[in-house]
Amino acid sequence: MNILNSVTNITALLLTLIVFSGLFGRNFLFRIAESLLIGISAGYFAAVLIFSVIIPTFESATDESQPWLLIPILLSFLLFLPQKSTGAWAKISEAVYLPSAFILVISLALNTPLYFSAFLREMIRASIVPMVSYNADGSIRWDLTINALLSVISVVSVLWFLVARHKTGNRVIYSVGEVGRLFLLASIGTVFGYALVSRLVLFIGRFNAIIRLILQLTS
Amino acid sequence: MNRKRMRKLLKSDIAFPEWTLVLPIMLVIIFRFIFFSILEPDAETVKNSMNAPLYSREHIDDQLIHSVDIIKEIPENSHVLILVNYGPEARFELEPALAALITHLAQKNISISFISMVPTGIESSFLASERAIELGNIGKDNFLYNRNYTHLGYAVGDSIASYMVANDFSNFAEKDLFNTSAKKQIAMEKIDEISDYSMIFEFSSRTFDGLPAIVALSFFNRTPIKKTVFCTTDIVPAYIPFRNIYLDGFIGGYKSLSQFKNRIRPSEFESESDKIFRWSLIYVLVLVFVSSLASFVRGRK
Repeated sequence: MNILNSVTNITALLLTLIVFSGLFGRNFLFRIAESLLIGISAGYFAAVLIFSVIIPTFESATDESQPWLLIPILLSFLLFLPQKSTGAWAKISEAVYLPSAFILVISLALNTPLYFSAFLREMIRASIVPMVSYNADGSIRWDLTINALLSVISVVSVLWFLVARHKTGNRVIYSVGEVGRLFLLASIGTVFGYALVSRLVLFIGRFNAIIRLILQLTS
Repeated sequence: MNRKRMRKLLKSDIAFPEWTLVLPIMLVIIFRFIFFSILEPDAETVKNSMNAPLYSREHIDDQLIHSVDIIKEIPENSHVLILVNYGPEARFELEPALAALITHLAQKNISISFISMVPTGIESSFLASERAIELGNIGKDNFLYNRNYTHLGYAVGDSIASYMVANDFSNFAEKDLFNTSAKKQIAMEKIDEISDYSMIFEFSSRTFDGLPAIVALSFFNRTPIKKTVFCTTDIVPAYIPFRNIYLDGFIGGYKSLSQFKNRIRPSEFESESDKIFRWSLIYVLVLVFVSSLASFVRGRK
């Protein structure tokens, strides 16, 4: 192992231990590690954006005679306009929202058909068509069939729940709505479970790295 | 545990003390390192492990087998595009699988183009390439930037970036990450449009504007290119609805990722540790489930 590798590994080891010390409460070292992370992340993101987005765009605009590429860069400078709430400057300073509005409009224009197609049309079609699936020998394939049925029941009952939660007077409507609530809670639980497992994998991975580093440094 | 302590525990806000969550995992991992670092596998064991059919050792789902099969079908000397959309937070989960895939592709002389839609993805793609060189026995001279792989840079703008890559690829891929002409690179020979790639991969730990990047890419470019996704455990629910529509291969979650890695690169001999990690995770999930059940029985909302 060379010196650079050793220094990198020792720094990684120390910083990981300092971050884990946050589990026992915020302390001075944890706050230093926290600030380091934020500072380095911001610096890294800025460097990536400058060198891989802004400079190449600027070069393309000037070298390849495409001046319209400068418009987004110039628009981005509007973000630095000073904010004034009174006087004539107030109207001008509203231009600070122009770049965000531009991005929002473009994103909306792209995402509306995308969401409609991906989420509504294709996803529902893939989940419920065909409603009954068959094996090659002609028998019903129960796993896919039950999946399709559950998809229909969950969508209908969740939509029903959105209406029925205000109808506490009618027991039938309310009870059917509770089925929707069950599906909703199950889906939230699943997402939580997946997120938890992922964070644990991250924790185990870091722990794995610490022990590996200690073994490397001591051997 | 005596009755008094049990009663006290049931009255507390948590079903189990915190140490029950952390301590067994720590013990399992420490045991794994002490035990396996002393007993390093000998050459014969590794050879047997490589030759043994994976089906006999553990259950592998059909989707994983299908994904591995279509990856093995990629023709030699072709080109693939890999979207690396994860940062350090997902390195432990995704990097071994990406390194294994890079090794497999490099051995078949398949050129790789990387694109990252998150800034940290740039670093992740180079780290995985380095890992592939180190562990995959490819050799530094046999896997070179410009010749075997290239990085086309950071695609900024979430779904706007997907649109750009899908519809204006020749313009997007004009220059690489280091601002040199991508057209002159051997790794980008005969690549003018996105449809010139044999397959598109995505290694992801996040969605963009609420949708997986590869779904947006498929929507904006309907060319029938095979697509395979590798994603972290927390993002699996975001991909599941689309796996039968837009994706040809889907490998999601720690278990599938480790199985993929062991299947495509069995010589790394990490299946034992993977199994231990998986059991640790199952233990935690059982603990969370029992804890929730205990809270439910006690009538806590």
